[in-house]
Amino acid sequence: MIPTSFYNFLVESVPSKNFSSPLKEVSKEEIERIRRSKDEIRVEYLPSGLGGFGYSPPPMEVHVKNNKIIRILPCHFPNDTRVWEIRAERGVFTRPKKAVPHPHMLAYKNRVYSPTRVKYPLKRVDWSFDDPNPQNRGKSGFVRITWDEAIDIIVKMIKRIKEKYGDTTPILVQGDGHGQSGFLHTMHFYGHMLFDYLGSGWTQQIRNPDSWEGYYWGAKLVWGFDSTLGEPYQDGAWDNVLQYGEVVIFSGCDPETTAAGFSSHVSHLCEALKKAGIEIIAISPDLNYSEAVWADKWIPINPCTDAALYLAIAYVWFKEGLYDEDYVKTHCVGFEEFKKHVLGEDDGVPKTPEWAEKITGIPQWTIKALARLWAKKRTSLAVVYGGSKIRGPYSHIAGRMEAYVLAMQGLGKPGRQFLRFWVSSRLNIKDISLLPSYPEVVEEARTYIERTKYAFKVQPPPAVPLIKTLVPDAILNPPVRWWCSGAQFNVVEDLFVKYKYPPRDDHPGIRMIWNENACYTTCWHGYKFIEALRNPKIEFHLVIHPWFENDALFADLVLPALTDFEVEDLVVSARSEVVGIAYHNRCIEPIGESKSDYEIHRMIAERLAKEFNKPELIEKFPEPETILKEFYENTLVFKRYGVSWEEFKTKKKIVIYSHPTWEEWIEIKKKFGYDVYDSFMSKFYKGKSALETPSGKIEYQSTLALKHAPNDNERPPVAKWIEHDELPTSPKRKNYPFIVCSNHPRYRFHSQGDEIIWLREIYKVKGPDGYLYEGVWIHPSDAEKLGIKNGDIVMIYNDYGSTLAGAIITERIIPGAISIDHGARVDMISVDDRIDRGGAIDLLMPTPSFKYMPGEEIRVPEQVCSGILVNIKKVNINELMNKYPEAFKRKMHPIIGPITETYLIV
Amino acid sequence: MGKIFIIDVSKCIGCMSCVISCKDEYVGNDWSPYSKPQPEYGQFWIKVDTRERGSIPKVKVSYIPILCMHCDNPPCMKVCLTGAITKRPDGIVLIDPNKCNGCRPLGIDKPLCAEACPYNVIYFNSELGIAQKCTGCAHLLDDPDWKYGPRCYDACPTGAIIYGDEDESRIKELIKEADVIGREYGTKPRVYYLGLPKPFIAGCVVDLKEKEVVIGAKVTALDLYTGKKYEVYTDELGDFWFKDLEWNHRYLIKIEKSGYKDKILGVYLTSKDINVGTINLEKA
Repeated sequence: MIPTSFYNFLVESVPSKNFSSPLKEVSKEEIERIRRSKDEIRVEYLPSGLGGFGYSPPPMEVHVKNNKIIRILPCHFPNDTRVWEIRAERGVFTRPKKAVPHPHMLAYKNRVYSPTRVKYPLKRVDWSFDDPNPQNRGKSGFVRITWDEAIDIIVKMIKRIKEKYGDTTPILVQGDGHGQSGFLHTMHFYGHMLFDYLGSGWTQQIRNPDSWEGYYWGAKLVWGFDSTLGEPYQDGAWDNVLQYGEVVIFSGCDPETTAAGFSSHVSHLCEALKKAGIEIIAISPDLNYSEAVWADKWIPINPCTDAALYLAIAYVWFKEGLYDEDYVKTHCVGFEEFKKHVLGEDDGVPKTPEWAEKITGIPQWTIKALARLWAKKRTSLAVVYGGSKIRGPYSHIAGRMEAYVLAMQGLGKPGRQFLRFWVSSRLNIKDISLLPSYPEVVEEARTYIERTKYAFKVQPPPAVPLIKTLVPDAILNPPVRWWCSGAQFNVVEDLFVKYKYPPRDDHPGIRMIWNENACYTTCWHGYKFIEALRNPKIEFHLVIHPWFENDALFADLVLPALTDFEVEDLVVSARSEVVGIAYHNRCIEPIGESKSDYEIHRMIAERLAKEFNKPELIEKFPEPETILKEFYENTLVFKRYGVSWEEFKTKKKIVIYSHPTWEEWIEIKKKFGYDVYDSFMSKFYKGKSALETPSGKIEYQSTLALKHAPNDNERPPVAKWIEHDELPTSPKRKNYPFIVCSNHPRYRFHSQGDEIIWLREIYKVKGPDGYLYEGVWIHPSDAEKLGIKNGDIVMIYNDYGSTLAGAIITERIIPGAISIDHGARVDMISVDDRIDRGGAIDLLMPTPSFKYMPGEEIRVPEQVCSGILVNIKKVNINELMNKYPEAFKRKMHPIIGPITETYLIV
Repeated sequence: MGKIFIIDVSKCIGCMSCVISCKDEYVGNDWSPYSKPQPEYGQFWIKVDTRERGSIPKVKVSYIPILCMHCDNPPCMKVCLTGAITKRPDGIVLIDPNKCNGCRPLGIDKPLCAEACPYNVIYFNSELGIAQKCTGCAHLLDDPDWKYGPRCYDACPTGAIIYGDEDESRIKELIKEADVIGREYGTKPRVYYLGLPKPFIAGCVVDLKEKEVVIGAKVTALDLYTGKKYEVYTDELGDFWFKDLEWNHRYLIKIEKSGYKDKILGVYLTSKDINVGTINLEKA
């Protein structure tokens, strides 16, 4: 039974009494004024992350006064909230009683009032129905129009598409991106909903698993785990590692960046590893932000060559008999085939440490020593979103090889776990939770918000699915044929299901784009998408976004969306192990004429209802209050504790659930068949549970691949090493000698928050021209060869185009590679010549079709956003200024660079 | 009753939450008579000094948050001509924005206080014509209902920023272990530091002929200034890593392992952290 401290209400406001002043000369009137001003402060609880999809980390505390945001504080749990503890032989581990959001959230005031906000509907000046001038997308400026005019254009366009092409399937809806994390208003899905209810179809862009590609496209075949996108369930994993672990490998793992961005800070977990005496060994091309402070060792590796390292480690284990032969016999299938490949019996290439040294850049003696250490000490491998390895070309090979080597040491044995730093109470778990939690609370956190289906699940016809990674190809070179929908919560077998776009030969393909994410240019394959956007096939490109950035530059119409601060909404805290729910009032009036994503789509629905004589459309978009109340009344706070909606809204406003005691947690685990320190994988090891693969075991040889694609040379039944063009050993390296390592950004959330002044001041590189450039890490030995100094402007380029960045000369990157985070704001110097000043590295990334011949089926449509070859050179900015004077004459903010005004025609 | 900050540098992860929270409190917010609004950009009442140390692959990063030291012997106060700078009984040093004239009548670019501060934490607000700096969040601390302490302290996710009263036994204990930055300035800072970085010498010992790391080799570092001898053994990856040496000392490094020839690496000056790289040990 859950004790009464199970939930807690935070105080609603900061009361005022006995205010005293420090300065003697302050008058009584002044003190009175200060006291009054403090009384007017109201406290609201706002979403504290940018993961979107309706879920937030624990809500941050916002103080508001007279239509102004005063301050933003971390989430402080009430004193009587109990937080989890793990009791192991090496100590008691717990977390702080507050949740500190990532700094981009603490700086949110700066975002809300940013001069990059879209304040009014904006139309590209030379777009019209009959003459859309697609070639000028990204070049011509924008003019302000009214909401009425904007809605007119949209409704007319939908009607035109339907009349011209028979239905609305030529409309591509891009509504699946991360974003603000309010429950209702700021979500990115409503375009899908609108066309779903309209009934005449749409092209559904399906979000690929962009931060863990290699697990999804590869590792899933080895160990299953559909619902976690290919990573082992995390139930109880921390209990096990803190009790038994000796070594944890950070495989490009950067929890201080990516986990903090998703769940609020998780430094206490890194600290727990250290406190338990666990050695942290980092394996990554760059010494990332977590590794720089927490790791004991760093083994630098060439970007996206981890599969070669794993093969060589396996080689050492085979040669020296250092693996768990019993485990692979009882828990695995197809092991002998893998062994043949490692020893080179199939291809004549033994995967020796010497062989791997040439590819990975790791000395062979280090590979041998690492292999022996891994075998000798109880070693786990830790990841969180990203790491170069899992997001590069052929990352599915690294994903599978990683699973193979983990299995060779008996994955699930004490202290031998796969550890994920994202501590969401919602996902990546099967039975219990990854940190001590009450099952009822976990159940609540896992409440499915139905609208998220549009991002993660293929919708039935008349919707037409199109995987996100192939959007530019579908526009530029139709038809495209590929395998797998890319939908995140699908079955493994979908990896072999064939798709085609356009769906029929007589289908017109994509003609209009409904863009709610606005970040394809900077987070996917930018130059190819820009090329597609400027193709005459695209008659209309609508962007709905609060900030004028990235895709908005290439829009025909931009609608001003608002921030969570400008609307009332619920906050569902379920992206951290701290679960709760909060309600917030509107903090400030909307900026300009902005409206919430939900309101915008509701307005359009109302007009469409009239135009298409479908009154039921209006009912599908009810009053926001109705939706919030309905959701609330399914929560524990209402059902179990009887707090009415009105009371919750006006008096209580926030609930944080306590965690169980250690004794209670042991009981909970027992009920689900877990011993005290068991993880999900311990249960598998002990033979108490099977995996979700067809054999129920770890599949070195995939049953599904064998069934569906036995002759696929890219992803054969047993993973094999593939030489390809982007490897350090590739002949292409003569012209493009640097390998890109591109991580999730330290001070943004993907593309979000790049305009925040306070953070830009800290991390951008000020060029000699005063512009703040995105930083690129270059090793001193490379910089010296190229005559590049700290702070110089460099051009990074490949066959797709170029981008400028500010040089950071550092020992934190392996020579021969450069590191630049993705998601910086696009700032085109020349659209035609493909020169970007913003440092948006994903502009240079290829779509997955680059691996295949034209017209060939794209068997693994993975996203590539790291590990490609480029060249860099020092740039004389004056030359660019002379060549492109117009680009340099535009209005610029001294810290932000381009702002909304930059793109307006006044 | 004096306020004290103690910053445990070993716990700082460089997330910049302190810097951002400070900006959040002061940019665009008027807390007169304590402080006038900080400009949109350009001032850092708390900043984080990032130090990259060593060379690949023996690299560490140390982050050192720096804020007004609220000195008990504040040089800024001594040079102030308008009496705008005061020290409160609780130790906090404040610049009264109503009294400060930014030394503009003197026709100088930088106010005298900013010039006098050895820690470089006083800024000139050209728009308001005043000098500005950290107030220790005095306007919040004076509010009896404010529970969270200074903003930087509240926003620190790892507890690297410790804040309290010098009468507290917890604080007293920590001060005993702590250091101050720039003791030589003689300003008596009220901001203390724990875990300030000390230099390291690291390397990797390899038998290049066998292409194997050498495990368990004894590595000694002899401090030529003090005669103190440090001894470590190479680990499973062949690495040795002397941590917590003294800055600007000279160390003689020697490697020994039975079956191998002894190797004297040479003398290293710890003016910075040192990675000696891959060292070949030859069989005897």
